[in-house]
Parts: sequence; C-alpha cells; structure tokens
Amino acid sequence: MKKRKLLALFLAAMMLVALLTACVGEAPQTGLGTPAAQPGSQPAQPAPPPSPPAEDPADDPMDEPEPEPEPPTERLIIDQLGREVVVPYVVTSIATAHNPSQSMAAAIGGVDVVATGRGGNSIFDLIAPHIADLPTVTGGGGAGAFNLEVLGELLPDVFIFPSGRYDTTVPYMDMFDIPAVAIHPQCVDSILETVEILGAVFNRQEHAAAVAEAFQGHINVVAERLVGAEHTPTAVVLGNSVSSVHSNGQLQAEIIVMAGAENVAADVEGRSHVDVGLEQMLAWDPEYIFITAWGGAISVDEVLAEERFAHLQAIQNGNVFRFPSPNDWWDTASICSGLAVMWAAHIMHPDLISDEELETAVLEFYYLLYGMEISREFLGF
Amino acid sequence: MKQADKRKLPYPLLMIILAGILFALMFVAFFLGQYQLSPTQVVNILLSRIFPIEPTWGPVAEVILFQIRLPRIAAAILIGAALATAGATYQGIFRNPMVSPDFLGVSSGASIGAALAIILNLSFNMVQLFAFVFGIVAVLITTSIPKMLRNSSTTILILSGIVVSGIFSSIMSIIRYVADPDTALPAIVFWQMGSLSGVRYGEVMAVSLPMIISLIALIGISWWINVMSLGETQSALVGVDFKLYRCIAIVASTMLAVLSVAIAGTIGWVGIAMPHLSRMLVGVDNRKLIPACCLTGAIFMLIVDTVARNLTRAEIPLGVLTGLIGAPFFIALIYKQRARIE
Repeated sequence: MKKRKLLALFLAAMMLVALLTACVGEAPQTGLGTPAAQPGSQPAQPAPPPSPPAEDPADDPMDEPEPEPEPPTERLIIDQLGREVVVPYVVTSIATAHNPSQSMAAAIGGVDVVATGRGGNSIFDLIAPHIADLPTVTGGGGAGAFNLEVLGELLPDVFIFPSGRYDTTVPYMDMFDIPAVAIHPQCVDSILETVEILGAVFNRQEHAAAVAEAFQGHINVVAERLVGAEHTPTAVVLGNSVSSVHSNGQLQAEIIVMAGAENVAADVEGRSHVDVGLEQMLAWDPEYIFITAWGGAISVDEVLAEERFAHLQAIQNGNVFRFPSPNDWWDTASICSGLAVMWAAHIMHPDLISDEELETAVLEFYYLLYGMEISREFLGF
Repeated sequence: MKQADKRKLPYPLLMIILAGILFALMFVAFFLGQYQLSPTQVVNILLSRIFPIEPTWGPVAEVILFQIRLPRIAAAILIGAALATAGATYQGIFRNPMVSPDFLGVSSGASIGAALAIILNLSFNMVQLFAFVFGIVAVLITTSIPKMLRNSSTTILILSGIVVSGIFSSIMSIIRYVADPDTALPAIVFWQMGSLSGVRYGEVMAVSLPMIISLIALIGISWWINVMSLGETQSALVGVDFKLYRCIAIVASTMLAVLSVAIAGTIGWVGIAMPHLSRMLVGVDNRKLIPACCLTGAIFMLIVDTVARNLTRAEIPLGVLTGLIGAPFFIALIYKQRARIE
C-alpha cells in the first residue's frame, strides 16, 4: 500500500512538472519577428510612403532636380471573399495547395511564378515539367494540412487558396505574413471574377482581360447558335459511379445546360456528386451521359457495358462521353470551362458547333494562356 | 422461468410470424422505388416468370424488377441475416453482449482494402475483392496473435481484436489523409457508410452460397455455442472441445461479416441490436436465438434498405439509417431490460 501511495505521488509530481513546463514556456515567435495575427483579422495596412527628405533653406531649388518618387512596393486588391489583401507590387512567386488554383494562377500569371509542385497527370508535364520537382506545401489530406517548414522556407509572395478553406489557411499564412488571396471559381460567373482578381494580383490586367474575353466568347458563341436549336436533349453528368450524378449548382451541371441540354438531375441538391440509384437513372433515361473529366472509378466503356443501362437512349445511341481533358480537366474549376461548354455543345449539337471551329478555339485559347502550341492529341478532345 | 415462457409466443408460431413479416416486406419492397410501376404491372411481371402472360410493359420495367430491385432485396435479406447471426454468435462465444461482427477487425480491414482500390482507381468489382481480401487478412492477424503468444484464451483474442482494429483504423486514417479530397476521399467516405445502390445479381449469387453455408453451420453448432457461453472451463467439464467449436464459429461468423462488408460497405448496429431484440423474443437459448436472428436481421435490413432508396431522391447510406434507427431502438431495448442488466 505504501509503495502504491509513493507511486501515485510520483506520477502526480511528474504531471505537475509537465503542466508547469507547458504553461511557463514562451509562445513561439513567427519567422519574421512580428506577432502572429488572429484568424479573420485584417491584413497589415499598406506601408506609408517614405517621407521626402527635409528641405534645407540654403539649397537652391533650381540647382538640384526633384527626387523621383519611390516606386510602389505594394498593391491593394480585393479577393473573392471581399477581403482587402496587400500583395507585393511585383509578384514573382505564388504557392497553393489546390490544383485548380495553381492552374488558374499559371494561366494568368505565367508558369514561372508557380513555386509549389503538384502530382498526377497535368498540363504542366508538358508546359512546365520542372513544377513536378518543386516542393509542395500540403501536408496531405488536402484541406487544412500544411507543411509549415516548407512554407516558411518558400515564403511565397502570395498564397492562393479556395475560399472554402479560409479557416484552415489564413491563420497559417498570417504566421508568416504571407498575403493570402481567396478565389472561388465554382461557376461561370465566379470564374470570370477569379480571372480578374488574378490579373490584379499579377499586375497582368490586360492578359487577364484577354483571357476573360476569350472565355466569355466561347460561351457566347454557343448561346447565340443555340437560339436556332431544334431540340433540347436531356443529359446528365455522372460522378464516381454509374448511379452517382453531379448535383444542381455544380459547374458540370451548369456546363451541360449552357451547352444546350436539359439536365435531368436539375432538382438533385448536394455539395458534390450524389448517389441517386440505378432506378432513378432508368427513370430519367437521358439522351446523353457525360462523365466528369477526373472520372473516378468509371470509364466510358464501363458505362456503355452496364447491362442494366442497356435500354437507355444514351447507351443505345453510344452517347456517353468523358469531359476533356485527361491532362487539364475542363469541367472543374478551370479557365477552360468555356471550352467545355463549346465541346459539349459540339457533342449534342454538331450542326451548330463544328469540329473545326472547336479545334481552332481550343488551340488558340491554349496559346493565349501559355504562349505555346499544345496538340489536340495531348489535350485529348 | 415457466412464467416468463408463458408470456412469450410459442417459438414455432413466432418464427412463422417473423417469416410472414419478412415475406410481406419483400413483396412490398418490389412495389416501391424511384421508377414508377403500377402494382398491377409489378404483379404481372413477377407472375410472367411462371405463367405465360402477354407483356404490356417495356423491357425497362423488367430490368427494374429483376436486375435492380430483386438483387437488392435479396442482398438486404442476406446481409441482415448474416450480420445479426454473426453478432449473436460472437456475443455468445465471447460472453459479451456488446460485441459486434466486426469485433475481430473485419470492418477495419475491409475498409482499408476498399480505400486502396478506390485510390488506385480500380473498378467497383475490384473494390469489393480488395475489401474481402483485406477483411480476411485482418481476422487472420487477429487470430494469429494468440498463437504467437501461445495463449488462446478468449481474453487474449478480444484484446487482439481491439489491437488489430486500432492499427487498421490508424492505417485507414493515413489513407484518408493522403487521398485526394475532391475525388477519392468522398468515394471512400461513401463506401464506408454502406450502400446497396449498385449491387448486381451476380454479386448476390456469388456471396449467397458461402453465406447460406455459414448460416447453416452456425445453426448447426448453436447448442455448442450455448455451452461455450458458459466459459472455457465449464465447456471442458461438459466435454466440449472449446477451441474447435470456437474456431468453427469464428470462421463462419467472419465469412458472414466479411462478405457483407465486401458488397455493402460497413453497416453498424445490425449485429448488436438485432441479437438483443431476438433475445427478448425467444430467450437466450442459441438454438432458438440464431435462427431468430436470421429473420429479425433480414427484416430490419430490408426495411432500412427500402427506406434508403425511397425516402429521398438521393440514396441514403445504409450505415446512417441503421445508426439512426438502431441506436435509439437499442437504447429502448436496454431500458426495457434494465432490471435484468442491473
């Protein structure tokens, strides 16, 4: 009994020591010597311009020229959450843990500004192979996990993140005083807004305007041609299984409607793809079945071979297609979503959008984005 | 004891009633679904397989009934019976009323297999195969630990199950951590919640024979499970080879559990709640309990699956409904039996 009491006292003492050590220890300093900002706080105000040198009454103002004003070092932009963010006047490096953000940043700011890598098939394998060797700041698991040491080493000029990850991103960026710009390219309108914001971030407003104009042009030409369309086919976009569909509000659903289809899953609500069951697919009997570009576990051949779908119009007519491109998903949060609209319109209304017109629009757009010719074979459309 | 027995229905009558309820629910389940079919059409289509009836329906209607609803109804019945029976067996041999069919790590192992297959972008059939293989591997590891320790007591087996489940859960966490949050992770999460959405006739046929054999085996050794529930020492005194029959029970129960998880994902509460409900109906004698679990589990799972595919436009994961229905139901059962538990 005496031994047990001694042991209990010893354990209690150890716990007390550990508790005191934790409480008394100093708060970690940030890398730049400034106190860590609280989440949701406004970023630092722009630095005041340097004060002009004091005038000496003995100087003759006619003898010496006026000192040239200091070039601006920062710019204030408004991100897609409405936050005021101060970014360096010249942005030379950006980091992100979100593939669509990286794609859009590279398209507007140029591939040279990208400071973080990415994995998997992507257009960067062709246009910027070095990106695969760059460090990644994600700690894994996508949302909210950062490798802070890599982030601290990189110290990018700007960190670009999807607006839904505000709470798990901004506090870490504040630790390193890295300006964090939120984007929200989830629908056609917000993609245009994202392009404008990124143009402001990189001070490439003209290029961004040209990209936005081309993007809008892809959609407008389809809208104009659809005025004369005789038939509005029914269509659906599958998610990661033959009975899973993209819900209303998803960009994929918006694309097929803009391309002149009636989305049979228009009343299916959800944040992503939703399993509606095989019976519902049979009840809908869509004329066209699209598979999202990333595809998940299903392929066009698998859908065509699904015996329970044998009586669907889409299966009988062979109208099952996967969105381009295997190397640059057009149907997700992408500047190429306008091309997805043109492509889907060409599939469903080949008399309104010809293959030649589609090819020309695609190749010209990629040249506008990256300044190099990218083949149709690589893009796979 | 005799007074308590008087309050219960006679066992044969009870089993007939349960079977009747199951049959009626099967019939009702045929009529319900997102695709609109009139009751007359349903009856005619079903009877057309036996009698020569002039078809007044399209080919899609037959696909709906025989390739979608029928496999799904059959799968729900098999899985419900399997999980409830496996749960009752485990509760008997481990002498613990809180034990579930995934106690030895089946669900954890199967989840890892399925997650790996999803990350590797393999087909749905491969997802099921991976789930099956990894579920078996998990149980093999669990049952190997007592052999390595040269101590095959029930306590060590229980601890092994806890350890292996914990390790596999950690591995699963790693897989979810590295999975793409926009593509693989939602697929893994949805699989883990359980669904019979895409079950095929071939899959049901593939699992039905081993499941039925396992169920028959467990019914066959139900008397020995009664003895085993007294403990190892008592079993030896009665002359029962405790290790042999425990091995048979574990193999059969594991087969039921892993096949269920492979085709439907992880579904909780069936293996815990239904044995308790069955005990309320028929008592603790496993010779009556295990067959009753087959029926009560099948009824419960059929109700849950029918609700899952009809309540909303989107399919509700089975694990969500079994939890929402099973957990309060289980609390009610505990409340009703609180005096006995105390």
